[in-house]
Amino acid sequence: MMIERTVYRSIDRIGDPALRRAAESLARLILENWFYGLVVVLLWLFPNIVADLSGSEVTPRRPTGESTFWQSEMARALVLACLAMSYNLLFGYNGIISFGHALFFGAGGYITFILLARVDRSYQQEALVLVLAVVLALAIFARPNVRRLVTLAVGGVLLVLLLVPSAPSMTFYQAAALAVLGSAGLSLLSGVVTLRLRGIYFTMFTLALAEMFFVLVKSGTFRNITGAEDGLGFGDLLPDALNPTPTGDGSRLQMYRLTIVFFVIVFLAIRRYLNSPVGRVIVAIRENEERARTIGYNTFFYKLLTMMFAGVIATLSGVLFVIWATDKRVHPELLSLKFTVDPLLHTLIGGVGTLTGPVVAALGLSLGETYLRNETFTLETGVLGLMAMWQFAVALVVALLVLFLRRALRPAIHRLVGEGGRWSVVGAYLGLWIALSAAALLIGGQIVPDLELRDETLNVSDLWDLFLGIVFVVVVMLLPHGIVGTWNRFWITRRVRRMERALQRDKAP
Amino acid sequence: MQTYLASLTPQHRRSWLLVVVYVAFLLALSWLDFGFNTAGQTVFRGILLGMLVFLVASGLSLIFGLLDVLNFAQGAFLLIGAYVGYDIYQSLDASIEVRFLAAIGGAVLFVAAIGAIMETGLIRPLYERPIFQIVLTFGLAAIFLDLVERAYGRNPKQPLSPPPLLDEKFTLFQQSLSVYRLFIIGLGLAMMIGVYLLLNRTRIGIIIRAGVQDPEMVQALGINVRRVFTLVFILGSALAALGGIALVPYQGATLEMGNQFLILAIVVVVIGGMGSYEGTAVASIVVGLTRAVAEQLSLEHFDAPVLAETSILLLMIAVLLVQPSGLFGRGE
Repeated sequence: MMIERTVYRSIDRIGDPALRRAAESLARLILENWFYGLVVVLLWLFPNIVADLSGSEVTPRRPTGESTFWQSEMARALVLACLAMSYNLLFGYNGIISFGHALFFGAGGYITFILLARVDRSYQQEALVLVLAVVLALAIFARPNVRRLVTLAVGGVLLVLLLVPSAPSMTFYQAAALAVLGSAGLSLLSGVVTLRLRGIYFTMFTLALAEMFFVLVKSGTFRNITGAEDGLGFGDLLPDALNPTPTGDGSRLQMYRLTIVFFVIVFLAIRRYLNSPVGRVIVAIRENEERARTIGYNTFFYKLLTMMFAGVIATLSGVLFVIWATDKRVHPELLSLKFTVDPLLHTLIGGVGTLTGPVVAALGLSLGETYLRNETFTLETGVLGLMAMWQFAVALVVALLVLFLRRALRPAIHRLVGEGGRWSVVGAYLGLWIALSAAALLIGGQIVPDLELRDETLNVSDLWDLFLGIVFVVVVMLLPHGIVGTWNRFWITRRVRRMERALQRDKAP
Repeated sequence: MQTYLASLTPQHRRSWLLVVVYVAFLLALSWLDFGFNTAGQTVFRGILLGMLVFLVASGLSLIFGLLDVLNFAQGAFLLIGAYVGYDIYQSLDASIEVRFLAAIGGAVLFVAAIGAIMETGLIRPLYERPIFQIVLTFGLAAIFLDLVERAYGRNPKQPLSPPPLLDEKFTLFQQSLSVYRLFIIGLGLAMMIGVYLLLNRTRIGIIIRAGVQDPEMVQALGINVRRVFTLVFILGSALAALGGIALVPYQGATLEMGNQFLILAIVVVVIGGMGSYEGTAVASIVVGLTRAVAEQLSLEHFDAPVLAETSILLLMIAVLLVQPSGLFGRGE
């Protein structure tokens, strides 16, 4: 704050108006983005930092070390952060709750590698017919504004189809471009059908749609296309420049840096989108859709556009995620509910409707899981050891009973403590709880034989999902604005309070 | 019957017509394609599935109608009911009848308790933030699934043997079947009628129906709506648990069961119209029949069950395109 004031004051002293304006925008650019820049630099240097700390090489020949391991983990976390950002765009900024986001994520890997590995040249005619059929179907359902989008989609598809025959066989980049187009078409199609539905119908429809594709891909019917449960192996189809397997030519490091570039581009694109007039409209739709429509905005069109944008980002993230997969396979897992729940969790925990929240949560949670994956602890020592004892369970149940029967117990308690204050009432409840628990334990001790405590060793990775669930519930109940949202609010209220105090000081004399 | 027909809105009359025509089409298709006996078996299976789905879907629909909460944990309730019931059945040392009844009672009570705690502890503070309620139930469903996996392992459980009385065989359409299947259908029918009577013939039912219309007005009339909310939530979760434990002797217990039935129930509720009880009942049967016929079709004509798995969603898409608020929903 101090720095900002000094900088802007010194800029104000510049005489030349053109120079002053330039200096001002430069200063604003730096002052508003220095933190993001710092993070990017840190991410860029991250492999070297890990290498220095652990004494391993950044691009070793063999065996691979800490640095290479953390490169791929960090890259995967960044990709998940991109997915979470795209989900946040829908959920946090446009107020659309879609439970089918995994569909677009999985579509990336599947479309790309089905086109590369499984599509015969002779099928391309049929693919063209299919695309035309989809476009025709859209043209039938479309509203006036959607026609613009349809024209765009048709143009794009024709462009790629023109590109395709020029190469002897499809390259990875063409396939990925087709995947993005395909996913844009898919989100357009699903958006046209689903966005007409009111709130909850929309959510359920998206869930059902994504689940349908998950089932289809997993089922044996299309085994020769999708590879069913085993997934689609692509091994050597990946171009060398994008292959992160640590063979010693530094390609993993390259790929890692490429992932950072992708992440930065996604971040900037989403920020640009939100700061554009369109972005203002979608926030208005989140706040009050009726009102936005009354003002004259075609809310359907804006929601559709946002859905397509988020879908394309999710698809690109999906392609990158598949590239980073260790076993070089596209798994049906990518379409499962997990990749809808994860970005939802990241968005909620980080902060709904904040730009950096999903990133913070995604990076923190996925890297945390990797870091703690191999840690173990014994059951008896932890809180879970306590839970394993039935006495604890009995005490808990009695406490809940006392809590729930508060109203019924109130007259008796008041008769007991008379006109005593609040603390004597609390004391009476506590005494009741202890007495009841002791009685239950005494009686229970006669019936239940002593259970042996198993001295079980547990992996953190086994309990990770449970931990996530607890964090999730706590955040939903107690921190509705998430980590970053709460943090922002804290600083804003502080600043506002200071300003108020300053105003009062000025008024006083 | 006359008065019922007269009370229908034109939209509902059209929906009834659609349903009747569609079911007739399904029956005709299966008869022509599979022959009389196989068609009969298929329809029987469809009704059975419809009853099971109804147990999950009615809870979903009731809870949504009254509380405006879409309870995504309904599938998890079915799952917990199945596994806890299985556990009770296996660990008790008594005759099969006692174990079976104890499994049903224990599972239903256990899940009802979970439902009570969930509604009072977690959902009630969130009535101010409805979006978070949906998200919360969705997250809780994932947690429950994980807990069940942690407690009972990933391997599917084998079907349990029902009491000897229900284990006898009977022949229907030249197929020897266990009486237990009739028991499931009977259970579903009993619940269907029971909940109908509860809604239409009791005081609490009047309050629930009034609450669906306008909860604030009911509150203003001096009725504690929040308590009714909790009651309906408990009822819904108990019905799902009942479905779960009823499934165990029929096809065992798997971890995928919860999500499978949740999707089916969602489709039913969407097709029937959110919060409409008759819609849910009719749509359950329709969905069950569709699924069974599609399964049989893909068995006879394709070598994998792809049609079976997508038929229901295609049905849902078709209905939503025709009527965006479901067949028997309140049109808006």
